[in-house]
Amino acid sequence: MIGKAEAADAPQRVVLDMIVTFHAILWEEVVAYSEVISLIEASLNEILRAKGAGAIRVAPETRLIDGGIPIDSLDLAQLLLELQNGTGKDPFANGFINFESVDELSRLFSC
Amino acid sequence: MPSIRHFLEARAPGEVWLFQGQRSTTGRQIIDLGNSLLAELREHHSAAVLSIAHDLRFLLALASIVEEYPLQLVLGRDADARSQAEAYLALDAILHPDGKFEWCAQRPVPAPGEAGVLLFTSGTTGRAKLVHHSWDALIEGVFSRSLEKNRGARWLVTYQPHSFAALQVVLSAVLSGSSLVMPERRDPNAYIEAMADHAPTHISATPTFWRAFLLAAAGRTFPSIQQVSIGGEVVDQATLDRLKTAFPLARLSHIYASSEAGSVFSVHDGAAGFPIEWLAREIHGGIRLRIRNGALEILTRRRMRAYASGHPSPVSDDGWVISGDLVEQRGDRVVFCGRTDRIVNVGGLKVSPDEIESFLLTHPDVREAQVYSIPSPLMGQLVGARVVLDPESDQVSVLADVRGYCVANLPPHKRPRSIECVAHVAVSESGKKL
Repeated sequence: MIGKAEAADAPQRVVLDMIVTFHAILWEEVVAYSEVISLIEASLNEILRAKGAGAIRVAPETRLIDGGIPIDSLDLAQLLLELQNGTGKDPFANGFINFESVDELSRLFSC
Repeated sequence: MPSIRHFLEARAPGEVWLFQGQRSTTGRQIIDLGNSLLAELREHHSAAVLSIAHDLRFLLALASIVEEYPLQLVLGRDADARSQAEAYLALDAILHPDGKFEWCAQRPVPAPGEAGVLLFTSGTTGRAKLVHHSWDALIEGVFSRSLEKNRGARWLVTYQPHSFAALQVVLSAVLSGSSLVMPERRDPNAYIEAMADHAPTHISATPTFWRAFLLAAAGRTFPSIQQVSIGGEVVDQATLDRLKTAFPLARLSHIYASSEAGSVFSVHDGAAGFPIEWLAREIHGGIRLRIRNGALEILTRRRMRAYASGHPSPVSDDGWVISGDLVEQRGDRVVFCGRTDRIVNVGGLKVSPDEIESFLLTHPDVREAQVYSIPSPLMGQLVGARVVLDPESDQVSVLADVRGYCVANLPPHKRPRSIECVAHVAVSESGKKL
């Protein structure tokens, strides 16, 4: 049974819980987004290393297709596979979604 | 055509020719068992029999009566085979593992034309196919081989007792006066124990079995082995080479046979595939070979009679068996590359998993490889691989080396885009990779 004092605090607690939950969701998404970018960079460098190419750094605005990174469509497909395995998410389950930059791809795997 | 009973009767009284676990059986005992089963079948007017008895005594006992009785014998793995068989034919009896008949609804004894042996194919997709062979064609296929070379041999049976391959080994042993050894368990260690206990001279197995066996038997020698046979899947050069190293004194034979085409040919020169000149002439047994649409086709009178399961016939209009085995001409050889029904489509480019498995096995530290398709939103499919590495090797560095080996030697669409290291790969009941 809830006591009188606790009952009086209840609306404040609900608001506090909502704020905490909102922060947690926001924080989780921010972390996931940056983690996906790190995963993209690590996977791309693994693909490039196997091809004998040098390592690169990626930023959200880095273009994955025709952006100067020496990868072909098969390498890009491998990158998607690594992201699916690394995040446990499959944003293409209901059909292919276009993306061009690291930012667009990261959003697909972090939302 | 010689009868199985004739060869069993030719055995010396008391000569043990079948070793199963701790039990040994003579030819006379098989004949007596056959007579007993025949009496029961006659009493119940039963001819269409499903046997799910894995004991080879019952298979041989039933085979020994086919000259006297128009037996339609279905070989099944377990009780599930009953419903599969009854979808296509009316069974009179089930022979259970304990050797007891279960009698079904009676029907007239079949006409001689229907007699024969029916086997489920080892296909992994769709409903099981039931292949109907005549006893004469089966026995002729075995008898036409050089049985003299196998006289006095002791075969280790590695195949499922209800498979076409096991039937070939068992018939070969009976017709050549050889004996058989079958362990109670079907795992590499059980076979190694059986080899120590019974010193078999001949072994026939799938490439997948052999690779698992070589891993388990590392460091051991088997001086009794005179004949090593391999078949049932794509036979790659790396596995042939490893067998030659493990059994340096044995004759190494690649057996090409299928449930549909029957026994087709054997190659003994230790090289993968078969000589290209075989495409231009009749080979042993009056068999002809040709390539159509990249796959091997076979003209043979030893082929199955039909699919009893009503599946479309694999025989072309001009009588050739369409094997579904992809082949390529490389130099003076025709080599096997995979199956037409097992293809990965990478952005419209077709890749045979068997070809990539054979390639992976050429890496000195890869002991087994399993290649499969991975769905890809961008390319449709990608190639994926699981590898079993030499247990003595540094798994992390070797796996990286295997990845580099693929990049250096395979075109981009054939490269496994995911390679993982596993302890073992999944194997079907028939001893083939899934």
